[in-house]
Amino acid sequence: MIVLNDKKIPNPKKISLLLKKMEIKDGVCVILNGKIIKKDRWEKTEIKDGDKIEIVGFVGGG
Amino acid sequence: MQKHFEIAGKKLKSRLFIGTGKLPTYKIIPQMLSRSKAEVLTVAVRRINPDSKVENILDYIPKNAVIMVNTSGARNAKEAVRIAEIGAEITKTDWIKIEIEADTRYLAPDNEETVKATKELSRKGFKIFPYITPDLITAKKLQDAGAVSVMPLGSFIGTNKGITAKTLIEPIIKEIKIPVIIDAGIGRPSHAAQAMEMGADAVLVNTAIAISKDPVKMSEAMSKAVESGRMAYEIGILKEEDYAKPSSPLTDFLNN
Repeated sequence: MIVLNDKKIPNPKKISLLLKKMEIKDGVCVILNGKIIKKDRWEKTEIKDGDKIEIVGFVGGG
Repeated sequence: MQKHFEIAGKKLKSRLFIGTGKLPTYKIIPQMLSRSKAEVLTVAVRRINPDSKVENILDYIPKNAVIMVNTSGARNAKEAVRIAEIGAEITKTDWIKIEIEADTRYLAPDNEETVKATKELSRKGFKIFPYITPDLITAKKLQDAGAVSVMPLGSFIGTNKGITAKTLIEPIIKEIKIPVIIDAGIGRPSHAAQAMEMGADAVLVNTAIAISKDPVKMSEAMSKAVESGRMAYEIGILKEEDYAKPSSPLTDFLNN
C-alpha cells in the first residue's frame, strides 16, 4: 500500500502507471515523499510500499 | 488601439489580468479572453482528488495566454517558494504571484514573508509579482529584491469595495519604477477605470468577473473600463477645482 493525497491505495509500482490509471497525461506535478519528481523521471521512478505521493495540479485562482 | 506595455520582459497590450477563481466553469475561459482581450490569467495550485474526475483548467487556457501561478494557500515564505516550484513543474511558466496569508478573515497578505519569498524566488530566476498590503517601504524592498512588479490591494479580496487604499497606493505608483498592478477589491468597471486614471500599470480582477451573472460580458466591461481609464491617464487628467469655471463665456449676451 501507498498513500496518495492522504488516501491509502495499492502500490501502483511506477509513477507512470499510477498516472495512466488516473487518466492523467500531463499538467500535474508529482511529489514523492516530499520530493518533486520531474516529468522525464515518471517512467523510471519506482514506488515502494509505504511511500507518500502527492499529485497536484492547477485550479481556478486569483 | 492600445499601445504595448512591457512587464517581466513580455510585451502586452491588455492591462487587464484576470483571475480564474470561482468561475462557474473553465469552459468559458477562451470566450472571456477573446471578449476582454486579456492576455494574463492567474491560477492556483491544489491537490488533485484521485476519486473524482474534475476538468483540468489547463485544457481551457489558450496556448498564447500567459499563466501566472498564485501561491495562495501559502502561510509563509517557505511554502510560497515550494508552491512556485511546483507550479513551474506543472506548466512552463515562471510568472509567480506571491500571495502569503496568515490571516483567514481578511486574507491579509504577510508583507514581511512576501519580501523573503521574493528574494529567494527572484534569485532562482522566477518573475515575481508580489501581492501586498499597500506600503511604500515594502514596495521598495520588493523592488530591491528583484520583483518584476508589485501588486498592492485596492481593498481586501472579494470585497468589491474598490480602491479604498488609494492614498497608500499613490506613493507606490509615484516612487516605484517597476510596474504597479492593483489587485483585489475591484468590484466594478469604475474601480478598474479609477486604477488606470491613478496611473497603475494594470489591474487584476477576479471575483467581480467570475461570480457575476455573465463573466464573459463582465470581462469585456472591465476591459473597456481599463482601456478608457488608461487612455485618459495618458492624455492627462485635469485637476479638481474649488470654484465653478463656466464652459462658455458669461459676457456679451445680456445687453440691456
